[in-house]
Amino acid sequence: MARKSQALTDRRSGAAHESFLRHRGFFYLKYAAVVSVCAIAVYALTDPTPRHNGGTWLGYTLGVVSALLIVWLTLLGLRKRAITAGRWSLKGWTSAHIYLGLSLIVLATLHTGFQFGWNVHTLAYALMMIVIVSGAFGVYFYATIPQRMSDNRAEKSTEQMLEEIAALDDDLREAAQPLSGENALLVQRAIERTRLGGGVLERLRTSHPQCASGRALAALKAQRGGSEDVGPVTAVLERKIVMLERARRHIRYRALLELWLYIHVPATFGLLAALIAHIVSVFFFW
Amino acid sequence: MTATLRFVTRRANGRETVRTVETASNLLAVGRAPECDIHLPDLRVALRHAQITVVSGGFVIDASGDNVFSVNRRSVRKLEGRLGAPAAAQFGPYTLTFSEAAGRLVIDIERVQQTAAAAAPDADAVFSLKSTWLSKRAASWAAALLVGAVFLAFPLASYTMKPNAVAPAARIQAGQLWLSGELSDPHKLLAGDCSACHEAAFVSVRDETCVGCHEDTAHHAKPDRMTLARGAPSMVQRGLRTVADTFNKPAGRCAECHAEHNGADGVAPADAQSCTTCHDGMQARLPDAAVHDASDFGRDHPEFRPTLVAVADPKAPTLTRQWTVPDLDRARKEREALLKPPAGAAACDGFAAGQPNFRGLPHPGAGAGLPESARAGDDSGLVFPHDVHLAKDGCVASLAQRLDAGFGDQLACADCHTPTESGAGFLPVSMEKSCASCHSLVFETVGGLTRTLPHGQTNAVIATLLDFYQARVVGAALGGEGAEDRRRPGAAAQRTAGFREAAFAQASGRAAARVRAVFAEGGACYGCHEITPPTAPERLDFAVAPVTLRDTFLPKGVFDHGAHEIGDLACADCHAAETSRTSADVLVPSIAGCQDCHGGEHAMAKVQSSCVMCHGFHAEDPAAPKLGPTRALREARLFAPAPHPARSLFREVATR
Repeated sequence: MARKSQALTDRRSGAAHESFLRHRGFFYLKYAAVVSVCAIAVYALTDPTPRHNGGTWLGYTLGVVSALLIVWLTLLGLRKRAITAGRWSLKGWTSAHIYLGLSLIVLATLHTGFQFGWNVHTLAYALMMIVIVSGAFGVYFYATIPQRMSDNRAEKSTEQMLEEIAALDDDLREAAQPLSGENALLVQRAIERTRLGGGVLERLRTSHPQCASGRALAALKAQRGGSEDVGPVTAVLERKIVMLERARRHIRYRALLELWLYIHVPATFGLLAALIAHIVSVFFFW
Repeated sequence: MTATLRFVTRRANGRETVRTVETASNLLAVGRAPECDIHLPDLRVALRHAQITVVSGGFVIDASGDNVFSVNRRSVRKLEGRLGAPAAAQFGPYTLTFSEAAGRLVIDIERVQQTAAAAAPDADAVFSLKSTWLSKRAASWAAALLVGAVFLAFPLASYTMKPNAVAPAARIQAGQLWLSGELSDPHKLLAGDCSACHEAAFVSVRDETCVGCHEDTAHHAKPDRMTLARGAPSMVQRGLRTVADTFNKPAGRCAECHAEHNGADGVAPADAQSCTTCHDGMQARLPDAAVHDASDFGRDHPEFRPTLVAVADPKAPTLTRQWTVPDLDRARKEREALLKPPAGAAACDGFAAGQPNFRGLPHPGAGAGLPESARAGDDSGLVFPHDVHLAKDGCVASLAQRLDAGFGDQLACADCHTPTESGAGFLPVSMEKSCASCHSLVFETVGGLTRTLPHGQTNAVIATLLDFYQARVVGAALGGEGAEDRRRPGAAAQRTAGFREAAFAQASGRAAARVRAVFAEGGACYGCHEITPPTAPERLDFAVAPVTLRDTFLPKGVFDHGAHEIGDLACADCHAAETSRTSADVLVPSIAGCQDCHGGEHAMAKVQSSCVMCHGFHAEDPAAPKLGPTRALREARLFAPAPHPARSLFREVATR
């Protein structure tokens, strides 16, 4: 039995990948769940005067724990810049970040005692929830997208993708040499005006009807059987379209992987400011 | 003429390779088509873009069709050049440079614009959001600074700057941003000024601030007794106390119980825990406490112990709380058995001579003495049988019908007991309002003028009767009004001094007889009051036993009668007045009746009732109306002069 578990451990540590969600057999998930359940139990079993809020002994305790937790969770931003292995590996840290961050939903909500209003206290709570929800999106994307991204890339680096497209453009130039003005212009536009990336929304889009290459291909295909032999050009264009789609999927995946952070991080700093204001206001009007 | 074509290719390292072609023709085709003399393989160049004609001493470039080329960045369709004069023409990415060498036209053909492939873009710029306008850093700074400015700097500034340096509206707004919860109704007025209660920054709200307005609020009990009643704190409580002390929240502050910012009706603690901390098992810690232990209205609450009159005295009655409601009920049943009127006697016969006194207590001069066990009751000093007054038939009912004074066929509770304006309680019963319409104090009607005895002052009653009847007899003797045998004018002279003397003696005797009659059986006072006979038979110093009527028998609790007008619930459902024969009976229902509907604070299928539903906390003047803690607080005197800002704010609003 002992040998078997040893073998399992070896296999696990030797395995190429153990996701940040499953880290150490969901250790931090269990930890966060126990903390949350305890908090709910104490909340349910105590009946403070005149009601639950941030000012009871439980309220202050939950508030202090939540505030320290928020500060620690924020430190992931510093910690992630130093990748280490072992017990306090970055992966472990990330796993704890996610599960303890989610437990804040319970701790901070109980801290409020379900008293909400248009004030700095609820602002801090709302910003915290924005941070957590955006983080949950991040977890979802990081759990699902890398695999799809890897499948899509087909072992190619981003530089290779761009080089391939550039090479296809060269082929296009070559293949389009015999073409007359109109068609040459179409191909030329396909080379010069095909855009990768662009604005935030464009990166998230799954179809790109305005793509110059796509339009050129459609126009040339329509001429099949005409006076000019567009066969070689359309063949190259079709290959280019495939490459473009792959690159655009990659761009979209990258955008999904990155976009939530553009909410998560600024909301975190807003939250830190609101948290300071919340604490100062409580003690100022003590 | 011929020309030399030099196809120049520049390498990345700067070296150039030149392929030289000597042409034999004067006409040079320029275009993308491979058969062109000057083959320019770029899609911006037409298949047959232009033609160069080499002429003597120069050349001419003619663009074909709609094609153009550029010279000095201008689009042209034709260019004529001289041999020896340098010239350049641009076809798409290619530059054709014309020069002369040994009398021959030399054309350098070089691709000057790089292909897209040559300038490899930065992959990260293409694939990452970093190349968009989004910026985590800028957004983070903006969020932090905005929140910090609006929610921290602005309120801090508005409360640390001098009051007159900040617009009141800005101060109110700042307070709203920091408001930790809705204020209770009575304090809502203060929401505009946090510093009305939070007088100093980082200092918890002090009792002096509260008492600034609530100056009449009394302590619950002596502080040392309360400490004893609370018992030794547990380890948890000691820990919490230490933390609170560390954070500058001293023990026993008003705000410890009166937690503000918890909603409209939150400031008066409504839970039982505040009370049961002491009152649960308090007898063990404080054996001499007057109150019994209580921890839950449904399960652990002592039986009601009405506060009764032991010795009536209008000014300072002696009160007692020695009996519980069941004690009183047992004594009442015993009295009923002992004081049963003889068979066949009418309801009013109790008034007749020889019948038991309705008072039912062994009072000096009362009828039958009662055993000790039957004496538990209220000794108000008044004789009042509820059963006689509420009977369907009998003397009272028939009088009510005869009087035509708005009574129905019989008297109802409401005929004497008038609810207060709030409906919670009842106004005191008074002789003038409730009894006098039947129990008239009119003793004589002469010439349409009624003469009434003054109620409540025995000496005044005696004096009134003596004055009236003596005056009347004397008047008759003088031939004035009321004379019994009128004489003819002029006969006065015949009246002798002896006659006058006899008349005065007769007048005194008759007046005294009237006085005795009023206090004797069947007289106006006798029915309701205990009369002490004169000290000597010839004297008239009758005394009426003092009367003390309780407004409430349970002064430590508040019972809202108005709130209990449910369905067809009648007075008699709780108060057994219809069978009560003596005024010693206490008609307060037992707690069991309350517990039919009311349970403790956490009762499952009953009205959840915590201590403060009936009890107030702060000791109050017994004469003050008992309206419950919240109302009492609201009625705290707001308008007495005091320097406190909160009070002046209240005054300002109230006078608006």
